[in-house]
Amino acid sequence: MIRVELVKLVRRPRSWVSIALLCGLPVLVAVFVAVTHLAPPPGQGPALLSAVLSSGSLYPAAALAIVLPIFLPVAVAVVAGDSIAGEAGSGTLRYLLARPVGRTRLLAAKLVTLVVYTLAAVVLVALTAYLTGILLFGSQPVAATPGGLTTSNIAATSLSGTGLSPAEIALRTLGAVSFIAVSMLGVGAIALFLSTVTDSALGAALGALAALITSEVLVTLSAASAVNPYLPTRYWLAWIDFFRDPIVWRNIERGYAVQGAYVLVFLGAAWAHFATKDITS
Amino acid sequence: MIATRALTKRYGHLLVVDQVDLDVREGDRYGFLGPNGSGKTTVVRMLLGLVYATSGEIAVLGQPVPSRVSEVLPAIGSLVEGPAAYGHLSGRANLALIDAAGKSGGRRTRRQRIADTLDRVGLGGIDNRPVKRYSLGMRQRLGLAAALLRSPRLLILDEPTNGLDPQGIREIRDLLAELNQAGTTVFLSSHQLAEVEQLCTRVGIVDQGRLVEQDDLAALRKLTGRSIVHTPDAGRAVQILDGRVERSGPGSDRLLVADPDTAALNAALVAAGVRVTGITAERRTLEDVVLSVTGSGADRFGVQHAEPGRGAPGPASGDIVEQ
Repeated sequence: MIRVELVKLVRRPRSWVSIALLCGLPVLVAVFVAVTHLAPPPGQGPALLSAVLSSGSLYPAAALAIVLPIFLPVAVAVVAGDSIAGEAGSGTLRYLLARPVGRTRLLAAKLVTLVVYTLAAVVLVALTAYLTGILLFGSQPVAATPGGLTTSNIAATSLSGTGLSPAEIALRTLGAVSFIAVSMLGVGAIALFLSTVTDSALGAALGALAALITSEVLVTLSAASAVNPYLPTRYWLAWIDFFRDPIVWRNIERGYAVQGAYVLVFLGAAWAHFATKDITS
Repeated sequence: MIATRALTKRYGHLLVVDQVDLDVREGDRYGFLGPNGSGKTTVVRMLLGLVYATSGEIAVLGQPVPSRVSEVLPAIGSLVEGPAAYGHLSGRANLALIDAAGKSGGRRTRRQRIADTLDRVGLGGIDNRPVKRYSLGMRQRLGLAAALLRSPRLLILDEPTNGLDPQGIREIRDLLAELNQAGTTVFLSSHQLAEVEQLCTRVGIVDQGRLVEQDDLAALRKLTGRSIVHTPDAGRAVQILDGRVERSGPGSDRLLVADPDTAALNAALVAAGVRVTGITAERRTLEDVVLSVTGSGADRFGVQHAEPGRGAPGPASGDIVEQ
């Protein structure tokens, strides 16, 4: 069943269009920055972008920061929201279940497909961004400091800055990729649950995005500080800590824990609901 | 093949299927008749384990459903509420996907089985156009192909000739009859009397969720005890038959005679010099049977008097149930 779902994913034009768009945005940003040499000053604009001008090997991280707030969650929510509701809407769900495909198996196959899509999207964004970065900005050595990233020419003034080898950058980028993929799975789990509730793929995707926007609003609201640590987007940017030296693990760990909890709770709810649901689509 | 006992489905307060006792035997061509919104599709969905019954028991191919439905489903081909396919893929690709889903029908034989099945339903020469460019009739045939893909012992088909032209309907009817000859039990749910009358050997009639009639078609279409006489000498015939003529329109050559003995009638008329062009014993049509046992369809909402012991149908119940 997993193979069937993967074939469906691969043969669906939408999968490729969405990934192409995801990869395209950072390339577009890189071209603008490279042509004008006008990177936003540190602390403004997308994270890490200011450091990129002097070293392209950081661009994968910057690219992920560009697609993370909206593009990536939208793509993941659309794919996850479509997984069950899309089959229901097109009427194919009843034929799959009557084939028979067990409901739990179908849900598991959809989940695996979602994980594959999310990983493919994040990794492809990182890869295209790496190539773009090297091509447009070159690959000078980079130094990481407790305050964040600097490139070598700035690092010369920063005593605590240690040089990062390309291998180290790759490793830290890999860490960031995995963290972001898990964060996206949190979104995907919410959308997957909603997908079992409604027969409208669009409704499920928008529902998940509404949950994210709510979370984003509450994160910035000091009146909501009581729930702040449990919001799904609270630790979304914690992966930037991978690029500090030494790596600050506290928020990264909490981020994994929060996303893991969301994934477990919503997948459990999706399973409980889908396994006992009357299929009337 | 299919046996249900007191099968009941309730959506909230809405009683959709009410104490249905289906009995479909091996080799039957069973017609499941009923007006729109009468609960046919819900029964079909319960048989396939898609919808869970509120109460009652179901056994399909001797196994309880839904608890062991996964064991019987591989031997069942189904078409529920119209065909469905992935619009951006070709018919063949769709069949390959559905065949690979669940317990695979075998990868090596897949291509051949798909070609054979497409041939059977009259899509053998289909090109690789995506299903979204299929006509309604072609989709229906593709849906039927998906149902036939694994040579099922039992076919559960909901309105299988929807969207087909008269030739197509005839073709599918012949195909189903042929499959039935080869041993496949056919359970056909339909609101079209003609379709059931022409294909089926056994009929169940459902109305407002209740099975109001279930019998062999031949038994249902029993003699009415009257004969139909066609004669150009209608006036004389009425005199001779002396009060036994129940109906004869003025100028019509068709008489309805309250006498089941066509041979004696014929002899009497001919002896009296009345020319008889046709004479047959009257049988109940399936339409008569259905109309006598069912009320108005669930898509009609006139003023109704609530019957005791029945869930009062709310407005638009048909829409809610048969989405």
